[in-house]
Amino acid sequence: MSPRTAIGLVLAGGLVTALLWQRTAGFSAFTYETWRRVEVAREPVAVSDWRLQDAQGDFVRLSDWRDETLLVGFIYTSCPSVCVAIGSRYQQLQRTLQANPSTDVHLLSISIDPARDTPEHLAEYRRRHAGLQSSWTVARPADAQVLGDMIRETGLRVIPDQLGGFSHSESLHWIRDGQLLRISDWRDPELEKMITDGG
Amino acid sequence: MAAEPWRGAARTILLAVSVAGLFPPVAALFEASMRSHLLVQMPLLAFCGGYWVYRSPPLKRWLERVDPSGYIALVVGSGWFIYWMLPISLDLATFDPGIRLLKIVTVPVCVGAALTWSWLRLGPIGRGVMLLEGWAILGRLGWVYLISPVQLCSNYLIDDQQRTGSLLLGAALISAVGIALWAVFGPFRKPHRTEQE
Repeated sequence: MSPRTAIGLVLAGGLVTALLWQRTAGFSAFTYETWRRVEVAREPVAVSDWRLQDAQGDFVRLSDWRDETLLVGFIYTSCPSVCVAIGSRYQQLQRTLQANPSTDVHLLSISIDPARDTPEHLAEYRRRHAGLQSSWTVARPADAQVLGDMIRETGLRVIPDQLGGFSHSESLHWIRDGQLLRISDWRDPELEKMITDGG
Repeated sequence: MAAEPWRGAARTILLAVSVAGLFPPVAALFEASMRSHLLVQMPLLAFCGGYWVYRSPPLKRWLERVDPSGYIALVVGSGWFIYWMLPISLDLATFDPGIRLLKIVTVPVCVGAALTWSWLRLGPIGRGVMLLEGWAILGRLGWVYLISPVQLCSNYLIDDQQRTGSLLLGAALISAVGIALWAVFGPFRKPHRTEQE
């Protein structure tokens, strides 16, 4: 092997490794969902002041929870699988919130199917999971524009499945003062600890 | 060259189909399912690059000068091959126009052309290693896609993912059996035999 080939090989190998390193955030993220988590953890993302309609039919904005950390999960109420599991998880987290009244975390479930998820459906979803209005808001985006903003700003992926529903990101989003600070897995056993630490 | 106008036409059609993958209606068609994205568009793009190497004497002359052994092309080709097999790259290519452009450019050039060049330059052992490693990658990836209980691509549903996994395993198996048959029964010649005789 000529020295030129050897140098070429080293360069090519280095470049290819750097490329894969960059794409996978240091060989830690091989799927889009994990990559999104790593990216947000590295640098928080600004989100706009989403206008939402809650289960009582009232219009609210993210800035209404100014001094609180929001734990935002995206759901749709006719979802047969993961949204039920996320609902149960929120039910557990709500117990943690009740046990630690000084914590400033608020649970927020936002529907990605605003056309079908009327306030009545949203209220029914929360009832199904024994949700309390004081610590858990279930809402839908006020209009299609807000839904688009939410998806664009958080990098959420929502695709229709073959059953008339959606396949969507299952992650939970920590938002405070218009900043998306962290994205967690809903199965993460550390969530309780993060809540008692104030997000 | 002029005696074979179909070659020019074939080149134009290949180029047109590749570049068309940049534009939303065609992109949507190719990227609609994981199967067509990974098993139709990617091989088509890679084939374009390989065809380019075969049919372009100036490119061959340049490669001959830059990488006479084919080793550099092998490293570059394998690296980009792995890159485009990652679920995240597949996902980003469906909604990030920059990554889509990267796909249309690098799959033909850095995967198709590079691997074709190294194939042309490598001896039988090198080619054997390339084939084995290719099957291994297809097999591993196919297996992961087939058995993973979670959806790995945000843009593709899990049943699409499982079907893609089976197809990848099938492709690895069929090509392995085909090449094994060819090696045993085909016109397999030892290199340099004519020189020795």
